[in-house]
Amino acid sequence: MTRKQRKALHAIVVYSLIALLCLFAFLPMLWMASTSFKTSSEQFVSPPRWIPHNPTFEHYTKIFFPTRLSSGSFQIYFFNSLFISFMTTILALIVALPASYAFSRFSFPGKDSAYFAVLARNMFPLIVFLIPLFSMMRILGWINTYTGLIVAYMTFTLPLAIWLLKGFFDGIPTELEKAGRIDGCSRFGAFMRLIVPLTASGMTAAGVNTFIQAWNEYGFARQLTESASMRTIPVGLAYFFTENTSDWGGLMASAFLFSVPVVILFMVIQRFFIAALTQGAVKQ
Amino acid sequence: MLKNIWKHRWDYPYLLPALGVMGLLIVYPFFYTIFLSFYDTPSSRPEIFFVGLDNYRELLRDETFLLVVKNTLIWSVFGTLCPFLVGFLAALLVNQKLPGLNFARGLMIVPYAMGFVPASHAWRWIFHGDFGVITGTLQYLGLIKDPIPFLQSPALIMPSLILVNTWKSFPFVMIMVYAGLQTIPESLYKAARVDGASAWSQFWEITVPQLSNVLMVTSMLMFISNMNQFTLIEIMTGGGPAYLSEIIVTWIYHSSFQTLRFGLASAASVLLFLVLIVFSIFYVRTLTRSAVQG
Repeated sequence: MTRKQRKALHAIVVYSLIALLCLFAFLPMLWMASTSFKTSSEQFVSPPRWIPHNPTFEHYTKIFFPTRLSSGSFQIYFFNSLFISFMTTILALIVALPASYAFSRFSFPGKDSAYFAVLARNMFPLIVFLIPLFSMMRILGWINTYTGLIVAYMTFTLPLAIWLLKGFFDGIPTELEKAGRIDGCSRFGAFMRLIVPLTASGMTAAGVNTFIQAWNEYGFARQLTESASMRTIPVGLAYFFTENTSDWGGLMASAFLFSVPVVILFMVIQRFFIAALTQGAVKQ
Repeated sequence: MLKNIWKHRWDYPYLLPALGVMGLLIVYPFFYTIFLSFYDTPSSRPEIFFVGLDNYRELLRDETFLLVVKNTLIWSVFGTLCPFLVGFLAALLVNQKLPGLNFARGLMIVPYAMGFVPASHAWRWIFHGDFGVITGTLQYLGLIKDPIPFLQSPALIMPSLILVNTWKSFPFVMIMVYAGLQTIPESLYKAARVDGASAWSQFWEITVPQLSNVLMVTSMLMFISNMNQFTLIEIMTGGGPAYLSEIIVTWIYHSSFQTLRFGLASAASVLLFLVLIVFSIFYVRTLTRSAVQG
Protein backbone atom coordinates (compact mmCIF):
# COMPACT_ATOMS: atom_id res chain seq x y z
CA MET A 1 0.00 0.00 0.00
CA THR A 2 1.26 3.45 -0.82
CA ARG A 3 1.25 6.23 1.72
CA LYS A 4 -1.69 7.86 -0.01
CA GLN A 5 -3.77 4.68 0.05
CA ARG A 6 -2.99 4.18 3.72
CA LYS A 7 -4.18 7.70 4.46
CA ALA A 8 -7.42 7.15 2.56
CA LEU A 9 -8.06 3.88 4.37
CA HIS A 10 -7.44 5.60 7.70
CA ALA A 11 -9.96 8.32 6.83
CA ILE A 12 -12.56 5.76 5.74
CA VAL A 13 -12.21 3.78 8.97
CA VAL A 14 -12.39 6.92 11.14
CA TYR A 15 -15.39 8.39 9.33
CA SER A 16 -17.38 5.16 9.32
CA LEU A 17 -16.82 4.59 13.03
CA ILE A 18 -17.79 8.21 13.72
CA ALA A 19 -20.90 7.78 11.61
CA LEU A 20 -21.86 4.70 13.63
CA LEU A 21 -21.38 6.57 16.91
CA CYS A 22 -23.40 9.56 15.67
CA LEU A 23 -26.20 7.19 14.65
CA PHE A 24 -26.09 5.56 18.08
CA ALA A 25 -26.28 9.02 19.70
CA PHE A 26 -29.04 10.34 17.45
CA LEU A 27 -31.40 7.50 16.54
CA PRO A 28 -33.12 7.41 19.97
CA MET A 29 -33.77 11.14 19.77
CA LEU A 30 -34.96 10.94 16.17
CA TRP A 31 -37.36 8.16 17.14
CA MET A 32 -38.66 10.35 19.95
CA ALA A 33 -39.18 13.28 17.57
CA SER A 34 -40.73 11.05 14.90
CA THR A 35 -43.23 9.53 17.36
CA SER A 36 -44.27 13.00 18.50
CA PHE A 37 -45.59 13.74 14.98
CA LYS A 38 -47.59 10.51 14.63
CA THR A 39 -51.31 10.01 15.07
CA SER A 40 -52.41 7.68 17.85
CA SER A 41 -52.93 4.84 15.39
CA GLU A 42 -49.71 5.33 13.45
CA GLN A 43 -47.54 4.93 16.59
CA PHE A 44 -48.47 1.26 16.70
CA VAL A 45 -48.08 0.23 13.04
CA SER A 46 -45.74 -2.56 12.04
CA PRO A 47 -43.13 -2.23 10.60
CA PRO A 48 -42.23 0.94 12.52
CA ARG A 49 -42.13 4.06 10.35
CA TRP A 50 -39.34 6.59 10.83
CA ILE A 51 -41.12 9.17 8.71
CA PRO A 52 -44.83 9.40 9.55
CA HIS A 53 -47.17 8.99 6.55
CA ASN A 54 -49.74 11.34 8.07
CA PRO A 55 -47.66 13.76 10.10
CA THR A 56 -49.73 15.58 12.69
CA PHE A 57 -49.18 18.45 15.07
CA GLU A 58 -52.08 17.35 17.27
CA HIS A 59 -49.82 16.47 20.22
CA TYR A 60 -48.17 19.88 20.12
CA THR A 61 -51.44 21.78 19.66
CA LYS A 62 -52.85 19.82 22.59
CA ILE A 63 -49.89 20.95 24.70
CA PHE A 64 -50.00 24.60 23.64
CA PHE A 65 -53.77 25.04 23.27
CA PRO A 66 -55.48 22.58 25.61
CA THR A 67 -59.26 22.39 25.27
CA ARG A 68 -59.51 23.16 28.96
CA LEU A 69 -56.86 24.33 31.40
CA SER A 70 -56.86 21.72 34.13
CA SER A 71 -54.50 21.55 37.09
CA GLY A 72 -52.60 18.80 35.28
CA SER A 73 -51.86 20.79 32.12
CA PHE A 74 -48.43 21.06 30.60
CA GLN A 75 -48.71 24.86 30.95
CA ILE A 76 -48.97 24.59 34.72
CA TYR A 77 -46.06 22.15 34.87
CA PHE A 78 -44.06 24.38 32.60
CA PHE A 79 -44.70 27.45 34.73
CA ASN A 80 -43.80 25.51 37.91
CA SER A 81 -40.57 24.19 36.38
CA LEU A 82 -39.59 27.61 35.08
CA PHE A 83 -40.38 29.46 38.30
CA ILE A 84 -38.72 26.93 40.60
CA SER A 85 -35.58 26.60 38.44
CA PHE A 86 -35.27 30.37 38.09
CA MET A 87 -35.68 31.11 41.80
CA THR A 88 -33.30 28.27 42.68
CA THR A 89 -30.69 29.79 40.39
CA ILE A 90 -31.03 33.28 41.86
CA LEU A 91 -30.89 32.03 45.44
CA ALA A 92 -27.96 29.68 44.80
CA LEU A 93 -25.93 32.43 43.13
CA ILE A 94 -26.59 34.96 45.90
CA VAL A 95 -25.52 32.51 48.59
CA ALA A 96 -22.62 31.01 46.62
CA LEU A 97 -21.03 34.26 45.44
CA PRO A 98 -19.48 35.51 48.73
CA ALA A 99 -18.71 31.96 49.89
CA SER A 100 -16.81 31.01 46.74
CA TYR A 101 -14.92 34.32 46.92
CA ALA A 102 -13.89 33.50 50.50
CA PHE A 103 -12.80 30.00 49.45
CA SER A 104 -10.75 31.47 46.64
CA ARG A 105 -9.09 34.40 48.44
CA PHE A 106 -8.99 34.00 52.21
CA SER A 107 -7.01 31.58 54.37
CA PHE A 108 -9.16 31.33 57.50
CA PRO A 109 -8.92 28.31 59.81
CA GLY A 110 -11.30 25.53 58.80
CA LYS A 111 -11.27 26.50 55.13
CA ASP A 112 -10.01 23.17 53.80
CA SER A 113 -12.48 21.05 55.73
CA ALA A 114 -15.39 23.34 54.82
CA TYR A 115 -14.44 23.16 51.15
CA PHE A 116 -14.08 19.40 51.38
CA ALA A 117 -17.62 19.24 52.80
CA VAL A 118 -18.84 21.24 49.78
CA LEU A 119 -17.17 18.89 47.31
CA ALA A 120 -18.14 15.76 49.24
CA ARG A 121 -21.87 16.52 48.87
CA ASN A 122 -21.63 15.67 45.17
CA MET A 123 -20.45 12.18 46.08
CA PHE A 124 -23.65 11.23 47.90
CA PRO A 125 -26.99 10.36 46.34
CA LEU A 126 -29.67 13.02 46.69
CA ILE A 127 -32.28 10.44 47.60
CA VAL A 128 -30.48 9.74 50.87
CA PHE A 129 -31.04 13.38 51.87
CA LEU A 130 -34.71 13.12 51.03
CA ILE A 131 -35.76 11.19 54.16
CA PRO A 132 -34.56 13.86 56.66
CA LEU A 133 -35.55 16.72 54.33
CA PHE A 134 -39.04 15.32 53.99
CA SER A 135 -39.61 15.26 57.75
CA MET A 136 -38.04 18.72 58.08
CA MET A 137 -40.31 20.13 55.36
CA ARG A 138 -43.32 18.55 57.02
CA ILE A 139 -42.51 20.26 60.32
CA LEU A 140 -42.01 23.59 58.53
CA GLY A 141 -45.22 23.11 56.55
CA TRP A 142 -43.31 23.43 53.28
CA ILE A 143 -44.49 20.20 51.63
CA ASN A 144 -46.27 21.00 48.37
CA THR A 145 -44.99 24.60 48.25
CA TYR A 146 -42.61 26.43 45.92
CA THR A 147 -40.53 27.50 48.94
CA GLY A 148 -40.03 23.87 49.97
CA LEU A 149 -38.75 22.77 46.59
CA ILE A 150 -36.56 25.83 46.04
CA VAL A 151 -34.92 25.41 49.46
CA ALA A 152 -34.52 21.66 48.97
CA TYR A 153 -32.82 22.29 45.62
CA MET A 154 -30.06 24.18 47.44
CA THR A 155 -28.82 20.74 48.55
CA PHE A 156 -27.27 20.06 45.17
CA THR A 157 -27.17 23.44 43.41
CA LEU A 158 -25.24 25.33 46.09
CA PRO A 159 -22.16 23.04 46.19
CA LEU A 160 -22.05 23.05 42.39
CA ALA A 161 -22.32 26.85 42.18
CA ILE A 162 -19.63 27.35 44.85
CA TRP A 163 -17.30 24.98 43.03
CA LEU A 164 -17.79 26.65 39.64
CA LEU A 165 -17.58 30.23 40.94
CA LYS A 166 -14.44 29.49 42.97
CA GLY A 167 -12.81 28.39 39.73
CA PHE A 168 -13.62 31.77 38.18
CA PHE A 169 -12.39 33.77 41.17
CA ASP A 170 -9.14 31.77 41.10
CA GLY A 171 -8.59 33.09 37.60
CA ILE A 172 -8.87 36.79 38.59
CA PRO A 173 -5.54 38.29 39.70
CA THR A 174 -5.41 39.46 43.34
CA GLU A 175 -3.58 42.66 42.33
CA LEU A 176 -6.97 44.09 41.46
CA GLU A 177 -8.25 44.14 45.04
CA LYS A 178 -4.88 45.38 46.28
CA ALA A 179 -5.11 48.37 43.94
CA GLY A 180 -8.68 48.96 45.07
CA ARG A 181 -7.67 48.88 48.74
CA ILE A 182 -4.93 51.46 48.09
CA ASP A 183 -7.54 53.66 46.42
CA GLY A 184 -9.50 53.54 49.65
CA CYS A 185 -12.04 50.80 49.02
CA SER A 186 -13.08 48.69 52.01
CA ARG A 187 -12.44 44.97 51.60
CA PHE A 188 -16.11 44.24 50.99
CA GLY A 189 -16.32 47.29 48.73
CA ALA A 190 -13.43 46.00 46.63
CA PHE A 191 -15.19 42.67 46.30
CA MET A 192 -18.55 44.18 45.35
CA ARG A 193 -17.33 46.96 43.07
CA LEU A 194 -14.23 45.50 41.45
CA ILE A 195 -14.55 41.74 41.47
CA VAL A 196 -18.26 40.99 41.13
CA PRO A 197 -18.63 42.91 37.84
CA LEU A 198 -15.78 40.82 36.40
CA THR A 199 -17.54 37.56 37.13
CA ALA A 200 -20.44 38.11 34.74
CA SER A 201 -19.36 35.21 32.53
CA GLY A 202 -18.70 33.02 35.55
CA MET A 203 -22.09 33.87 37.02
CA THR A 204 -23.74 33.09 33.69
CA ALA A 205 -22.03 29.71 33.44
CA ALA A 206 -22.77 28.80 37.05
CA GLY A 207 -26.32 30.12 36.72
CA VAL A 208 -27.13 28.19 33.55
CA ASN A 209 -25.69 25.08 35.15
CA THR A 210 -27.79 25.52 38.26
CA PHE A 211 -30.85 26.14 36.13
CA ILE A 212 -30.31 22.94 34.12
CA GLN A 213 -29.82 20.88 37.29
CA ALA A 214 -33.01 22.22 38.85
CA TRP A 215 -34.94 21.87 35.59
CA ASN A 216 -34.04 18.18 35.25
CA GLU A 217 -34.54 17.17 38.89
CA TYR A 218 -37.02 14.37 39.50
CA GLY A 219 -36.83 12.61 42.91
CA PHE A 220 -37.28 15.63 45.19
CA ALA A 221 -40.02 17.13 43.03
CA ARG A 222 -41.86 13.82 43.02
CA GLN A 223 -41.81 13.43 46.80
CA LEU A 224 -42.13 17.04 47.98
CA THR A 225 -45.18 17.87 45.85
CA GLU A 226 -48.63 16.43 46.39
CA SER A 227 -51.22 18.17 44.24
CA ALA A 228 -51.15 18.10 40.44
CA SER A 229 -50.99 21.90 40.35
CA MET A 230 -47.57 21.87 42.03
CA ARG A 231 -45.87 19.30 39.77
CA THR A 232 -42.87 20.17 37.66
CA ILE A 233 -42.55 18.80 34.11
CA PRO A 234 -40.39 15.76 35.06
CA VAL A 235 -43.02 14.71 37.60
CA GLY A 236 -45.84 15.50 35.19
CA LEU A 237 -44.27 13.20 32.58
CA ALA A 238 -44.21 10.35 35.12
CA TYR A 239 -47.96 10.75 35.69
CA PHE A 240 -48.67 11.08 31.98
CA PHE A 241 -50.43 7.76 31.43
CA THR A 242 -52.72 8.10 34.43
CA GLU A 243 -54.51 10.83 32.49
CA ASN A 244 -53.95 9.67 28.91
CA THR A 245 -53.81 5.92 28.35
CA SER A 246 -50.82 4.86 26.23
CA ASP A 247 -50.57 8.14 24.32
CA TRP A 248 -46.89 7.75 23.44
CA GLY A 249 -47.07 10.53 20.86
CA GLY A 250 -48.19 12.98 23.52
CA LEU A 251 -45.53 11.79 25.96
CA MET A 252 -42.76 12.05 23.36
CA ALA A 253 -43.93 15.53 22.32
CA SER A 254 -43.86 16.72 25.94
CA ALA A 255 -40.47 15.09 26.59
CA PHE A 256 -39.11 16.62 23.40
CA LEU A 257 -40.32 20.13 24.28
CA PHE A 258 -38.88 19.67 27.76
CA SER A 259 -35.41 18.72 26.43
CA VAL A 260 -34.96 21.30 23.68
CA PRO A 261 -34.29 24.39 25.86
CA VAL A 262 -31.88 22.46 28.08
CA VAL A 263 -29.90 21.01 25.17
CA ILE A 264 -29.60 24.48 23.61
CA LEU A 265 -28.51 26.05 26.92
CA PHE A 266 -25.99 23.28 27.42
CA MET A 267 -24.55 23.78 23.95
CA VAL A 268 -24.16 27.51 24.64
CA ILE A 269 -22.24 27.09 27.89
CA GLN A 270 -20.54 23.77 27.19
CA ARG A 271 -17.13 25.44 26.81
CA PHE A 272 -17.25 26.79 30.39
CA PHE A 273 -18.71 23.59 31.69
CA ILE A 274 -16.10 21.38 30.06
CA ALA A 275 -13.31 23.65 31.31
CA ALA A 276 -14.64 23.33 34.87
CA LEU A 277 -15.11 19.57 34.56
CA THR A 278 -11.65 18.91 33.28
CA GLN A 279 -9.67 21.47 35.28
CA GLY A 280 -8.95 19.04 38.10
CA ALA A 281 -8.43 15.96 36.02
CA VAL A 282 -6.19 17.31 33.27
CA LYS A 283 -2.62 18.26 34.00
CA GLN A 284 -2.05 21.71 32.57
CA MET B 1 -5.65 28.60 66.80
CA LEU B 2 -8.14 30.93 68.50
CA LYS B 3 -5.86 33.86 67.75
CA ASN B 4 -5.78 32.83 64.12
CA ILE B 5 -9.57 32.60 64.01
CA TRP B 6 -9.77 36.07 65.59
CA LYS B 7 -7.35 37.42 63.02
CA HIS B 8 -9.59 36.10 60.23
CA ARG B 9 -12.88 37.03 61.93
CA TRP B 10 -13.99 39.17 59.01
CA ASP B 11 -13.63 36.24 56.60
CA TYR B 12 -16.49 34.29 58.10
CA PRO B 13 -19.40 36.64 57.29
CA TYR B 14 -18.81 35.84 53.59
CA LEU B 15 -19.44 32.18 54.35
CA LEU B 16 -22.29 32.62 56.77
CA PRO B 17 -25.22 32.27 54.32
CA ALA B 18 -23.65 29.25 52.63
CA LEU B 19 -22.73 27.58 55.91
CA GLY B 20 -26.23 28.16 57.25
CA VAL B 21 -27.87 26.60 54.21
CA MET B 22 -25.40 23.70 54.10
CA GLY B 23 -25.74 23.05 57.82
CA LEU B 24 -29.51 22.88 57.56
CA LEU B 25 -29.74 20.91 54.32
CA ILE B 26 -26.63 18.75 54.27
CA VAL B 27 -24.98 18.39 57.69
CA TYR B 28 -28.19 18.05 59.69
CA PRO B 29 -29.73 15.45 57.31
CA PHE B 30 -26.44 13.54 57.35
CA PHE B 31 -26.44 13.15 61.13
CA TYR B 32 -30.19 12.67 61.32
CA THR B 33 -29.85 9.69 58.94
CA ILE B 34 -27.20 8.12 61.18
CA PHE B 35 -29.42 8.74 64.23
CA LEU B 36 -32.52 7.27 62.59
CA SER B 37 -30.65 4.14 61.49
CA PHE B 38 -30.66 2.96 65.13
CA TYR B 39 -34.43 3.35 65.50
CA ASP B 40 -37.52 1.44 64.53
CA THR B 41 -40.10 3.73 62.92
CA PRO B 42 -43.44 1.90 62.88
CA SER B 43 -45.76 3.53 60.36
CA SER B 44 -48.81 2.96 62.56
CA ARG B 45 -47.49 5.09 65.43
CA PRO B 46 -45.89 8.51 65.70
CA GLU B 47 -43.17 7.41 68.17
CA ILE B 48 -39.82 5.87 67.25
CA PHE B 49 -38.06 3.15 69.27
CA PHE B 50 -34.35 2.61 69.85
CA VAL B 51 -33.33 -0.81 68.52
CA GLY B 52 -29.53 -0.59 68.43
CA LEU B 53 -28.04 -2.41 65.49
CA ASP B 54 -31.21 -4.35 64.63
CA ASN B 55 -31.76 -2.50 61.35
CA TYR B 56 -28.24 -3.34 60.20
CA ARG B 57 -28.66 -6.98 61.23
CA GLU B 58 -31.93 -7.18 59.34
CA LEU B 59 -30.36 -5.68 56.22
CA LEU B 60 -27.45 -8.11 56.12
CA ARG B 61 -29.80 -11.07 56.58
CA ASP B 62 -32.37 -9.87 54.06
CA GLU B 63 -32.01 -11.78 50.79
CA THR B 64 -33.74 -9.04 48.84
CA PHE B 65 -31.23 -6.48 50.06
CA LEU B 66 -28.32 -8.76 49.14
CA LEU B 67 -29.79 -9.08 45.65
CA VAL B 68 -30.04 -5.29 45.53
CA VAL B 69 -26.37 -4.98 46.51
CA LYS B 70 -25.43 -7.44 43.76
CA ASN B 71 -27.51 -5.47 41.22
CA THR B 72 -25.83 -2.23 42.33
CA LEU B 73 -22.39 -3.74 41.76
CA ILE B 74 -23.28 -5.09 38.31
CA TRP B 75 -24.92 -1.81 37.34
CA SER B 76 -22.05 0.36 38.62
CA VAL B 77 -19.22 -1.73 37.18
CA PHE B 78 -20.66 -2.42 33.72
CA GLY B 79 -22.50 0.89 33.62
CA THR B 80 -19.06 2.49 33.95
CA LEU B 81 -17.06 0.11 31.78
CA CYS B 82 -19.31 0.23 28.68
CA PRO B 83 -19.63 4.03 28.37
CA PHE B 84 -15.95 4.23 29.20
CA LEU B 85 -14.86 2.04 26.28
CA VAL B 86 -17.27 3.69 23.81
CA GLY B 87 -16.33 7.19 25.02
CA PHE B 88 -12.61 6.45 24.89
CA LEU B 89 -12.96 5.20 21.31
CA ALA B 90 -15.01 8.30 20.40
CA ALA B 91 -12.34 10.61 21.88
CA LEU B 92 -9.55 8.89 19.93
CA LEU B 93 -11.63 9.16 16.74
CA VAL B 94 -12.50 12.86 17.04
CA ASN B 95 -8.87 13.58 17.91
CA GLN B 96 -7.70 12.49 14.42
CA LYS B 97 -6.53 15.25 12.11
CA LEU B 98 -9.40 15.12 9.62
CA PRO B 99 -11.96 17.78 8.65
CA GLY B 100 -15.44 17.80 10.20
CA LEU B 101 -14.57 15.99 13.40
CA ASN B 102 -15.16 19.00 15.65
CA PHE B 103 -18.69 19.09 14.35
CA ALA B 104 -19.16 15.37 15.03
CA ARG B 105 -17.89 15.92 18.57
CA GLY B 106 -20.53 18.62 19.10
CA LEU B 107 -23.26 16.30 17.79
CA MET B 108 -22.28 13.39 20.00
CA ILE B 109 -22.56 15.50 23.18
CA VAL B 110 -26.34 15.82 22.75
CA PRO B 111 -27.37 12.65 24.68
CA TYR B 112 -25.30 13.88 27.61
CA ALA B 113 -26.88 17.35 27.42
CA MET B 114 -30.38 15.88 27.56
CA GLY B 115 -31.95 15.25 30.97
CA PHE B 116 -32.29 11.75 32.41
CA VAL B 117 -36.07 12.11 32.59
CA PRO B 118 -36.89 12.60 28.88
CA ALA B 119 -34.12 10.16 27.92
CA SER B 120 -35.61 7.44 30.13
CA HIS B 121 -39.08 7.95 28.67
CA ALA B 122 -37.69 7.78 25.13
CA TRP B 123 -35.95 4.48 25.86
CA ARG B 124 -39.01 3.09 27.61
CA TRP B 125 -40.81 3.59 24.32
CA ILE B 126 -37.91 2.15 22.28
CA PHE B 127 -37.94 -0.95 24.51
CA HIS B 128 -41.75 -1.25 24.48
CA GLY B 129 -42.86 -4.88 24.81
CA ASP B 130 -45.19 -4.89 21.80
CA PHE B 131 -44.53 -1.78 19.72
CA GLY B 132 -40.84 -1.08 20.45
CA VAL B 133 -38.85 0.05 17.42
CA ILE B 134 -36.03 -2.51 17.86
CA THR B 135 -38.47 -5.40 18.16
CA GLY B 136 -40.55 -4.04 15.27
CA THR B 137 -37.57 -3.63 12.94
CA LEU B 138 -36.13 -7.08 13.71
CA GLN B 139 -39.54 -8.69 13.24
CA TYR B 140 -39.96 -6.90 9.90
CA LEU B 141 -36.56 -8.20 8.79
CA GLY B 142 -37.66 -11.68 9.84
CA LEU B 143 -34.82 -12.06 12.33
CA ILE B 144 -37.03 -12.69 15.33
CA LYS B 145 -40.59 -13.82 15.89
CA ASP B 146 -41.53 -12.87 19.43
CA PRO B 147 -40.99 -9.40 20.87
CA ILE B 148 -37.75 -8.96 22.82
CA PRO B 149 -38.65 -8.47 26.53
CA PHE B 150 -35.91 -5.88 27.21
CA LEU B 151 -37.32 -4.67 30.50
CA GLN B 152 -39.16 -7.83 31.56
CA SER B 153 -36.74 -10.73 31.25
CA PRO B 154 -34.27 -11.36 34.11
CA ALA B 155 -31.46 -11.93 31.63
CA LEU B 156 -32.03 -8.76 29.59
CA ILE B 157 -33.06 -6.13 32.10
CA MET B 158 -29.61 -5.16 33.38
CA PRO B 159 -27.94 -5.21 29.94
CA SER B 160 -30.80 -3.04 28.61
CA LEU B 161 -30.38 -0.47 31.38
CA ILE B 162 -26.61 -0.50 30.88
CA LEU B 163 -27.15 0.12 27.16
CA VAL B 164 -29.20 3.22 27.99
CA ASN B 165 -26.49 4.43 30.36
CA THR B 166 -23.85 3.83 27.68
CA TRP B 167 -25.82 6.00 25.29
CA LYS B 168 -26.34 8.71 27.90
CA SER B 169 -22.84 8.80 29.42
CA PHE B 170 -20.30 7.97 26.71
CA PRO B 171 -20.13 11.67 25.66
CA PHE B 172 -18.96 12.55 29.17
CA VAL B 173 -16.02 10.15 28.85
CA MET B 174 -15.36 11.49 25.36
CA ILE B 175 -15.22 15.09 26.65
CA MET B 176 -12.83 14.23 29.47
CA VAL B 177 -10.50 12.01 27.44
CA TYR B 178 -10.49 14.45 24.52
CA ALA B 179 -9.45 17.27 26.89
CA GLY B 180 -6.70 15.00 28.22
CA LEU B 181 -5.48 14.15 24.71
CA GLN B 182 -4.97 17.86 23.96
CA THR B 183 -2.38 18.10 26.73
CA ILE B 184 -0.08 15.33 25.44
CA PRO B 185 2.88 17.01 23.71
CA GLU B 186 3.16 16.08 20.03
CA SER B 187 6.95 15.78 20.47
CA LEU B 188 6.49 12.52 22.40
CA TYR B 189 4.82 10.89 19.39
CA LYS B 190 7.40 12.35 17.00
CA ALA B 191 10.24 10.89 19.02
CA ALA B 192 8.48 7.52 19.15
CA ARG B 193 7.98 7.51 15.38
CA VAL B 194 11.68 8.26 14.87
CA ASP B 195 12.37 5.18 16.99
CA GLY B 196 10.04 3.22 14.70
CA ALA B 197 7.30 2.55 17.28
CA SER B 198 4.03 1.22 15.84
CA ALA B 199 0.73 3.03 16.37
CA TRP B 200 -0.27 0.23 18.76
CA SER B 201 2.79 0.64 20.96
CA GLN B 202 2.52 4.45 20.80
CA PHE B 203 -0.98 4.08 22.22
CA TRP B 204 0.10 1.86 25.11
CA GLU B 205 3.47 3.53 25.79
CA ILE B 206 2.47 7.19 25.42
CA THR B 207 -1.30 7.82 25.26
CA VAL B 208 -2.46 5.60 28.11
CA PRO B 209 0.28 6.53 30.64
CA GLN B 210 -0.11 10.25 29.84
CA LEU B 211 -3.86 9.98 30.35
CA SER B 212 -3.67 7.92 33.55
CA ASN B 213 -4.96 10.71 35.76
CA VAL B 214 -7.84 11.64 33.47
CA LEU B 215 -8.82 7.98 33.14
CA MET B 216 -8.77 7.48 36.91
CA VAL B 217 -10.80 10.60 37.67
CA THR B 218 -13.31 9.95 34.89
CA SER B 219 -13.95 6.34 35.84
CA MET B 220 -14.30 7.23 39.52
CA LEU B 221 -16.77 10.05 38.80
CA MET B 222 -18.75 7.70 36.55
CA PHE B 223 -18.75 4.91 39.10
CA ILE B 224 -19.98 7.20 41.89
CA SER B 225 -22.67 8.79 39.74
CA ASN B 226 -23.86 5.32 38.67
CA MET B 227 -24.11 4.16 42.26
CA ASN B 228 -26.24 7.26 42.88
CA GLN B 229 -28.36 6.91 39.72
CA PHE B 230 -31.97 7.13 40.83
CA THR B 231 -33.86 8.83 38.02
CA LEU B 232 -33.02 6.51 35.12
CA ILE B 233 -33.86 3.30 36.96
CA GLU B 234 -36.91 4.65 38.78
CA ILE B 235 -38.50 5.88 35.54
CA MET B 236 -37.55 2.94 33.32
CA THR B 237 -38.37 0.02 35.61
CA GLY B 238 -39.11 1.31 39.13
CA GLY B 239 -36.67 -1.39 40.29
CA GLY B 240 -38.89 -4.16 39.03
CA PRO B 241 -39.89 -6.73 38.02
CA ALA B 242 -39.39 -8.49 41.37
CA TYR B 243 -36.34 -6.41 42.42
CA LEU B 244 -34.39 -7.55 39.34
CA SER B 245 -33.28 -4.00 38.55
CA GLU B 246 -33.51 -2.51 42.04
CA ILE B 247 -30.28 -0.80 43.15
CA ILE B 248 -29.48 0.57 46.61
CA VAL B 249 -30.74 4.12 46.01
CA THR B 250 -34.07 3.03 44.52
CA TRP B 251 -34.42 0.47 47.33
CA ILE B 252 -33.86 3.23 49.90
CA TYR B 253 -36.52 5.34 48.21
CA HIS B 254 -39.05 2.52 48.03
CA SER B 255 -38.40 1.37 51.61
CA SER B 256 -38.88 4.86 52.96
CA PHE B 257 -41.73 6.27 50.90
CA GLN B 258 -43.64 3.15 49.87
CA THR B 259 -43.24 0.68 52.74
CA LEU B 260 -42.50 3.52 55.23
CA ARG B 261 -39.57 1.76 56.91
CA PHE B 262 -37.54 4.92 57.46
CA GLY B 263 -35.21 3.37 60.07
CA LEU B 264 -34.27 0.45 57.85
CA ALA B 265 -33.79 2.75 54.84
CA SER B 266 -31.57 5.01 56.96
CA ALA B 267 -29.38 2.06 57.91
CA ALA B 268 -28.94 1.25 54.21
CA SER B 269 -28.11 4.92 53.59
CA VAL B 270 -25.41 4.81 56.26
CA LEU B 271 -23.84 1.70 54.66
CA LEU B 272 -23.90 3.48 51.31
CA PHE B 273 -22.33 6.60 52.91
CA LEU B 274 -19.47 4.48 54.23
CA VAL B 275 -18.72 2.99 50.82
CA LEU B 276 -18.93 6.38 49.12
CA ILE B 277 -16.72 8.10 51.71
CA VAL B 278 -13.94 5.62 50.93
CA PHE B 279 -14.35 6.43 47.23
CA SER B 280 -14.41 10.19 47.89
CA ILE B 281 -11.17 10.13 49.84
CA PHE B 282 -9.57 8.11 47.07
CA TYR B 283 -10.95 10.56 44.50
CA VAL B 284 -9.77 13.71 46.32
CA ARG B 285 -6.33 12.08 46.76
CA THR B 286 -6.05 11.49 43.02
CA LEU B 287 -7.10 15.07 42.31
CA THR B 288 -4.65 16.64 44.77
CA ARG B 289 -1.86 14.35 43.60
CA SER B 290 -2.40 15.56 40.04
CA ALA B 291 -2.39 19.17 41.28
CA VAL B 292 0.96 18.63 42.97
CA GLN B 293 2.42 17.04 39.86
CA GLY B 294 0.98 19.72 37.59
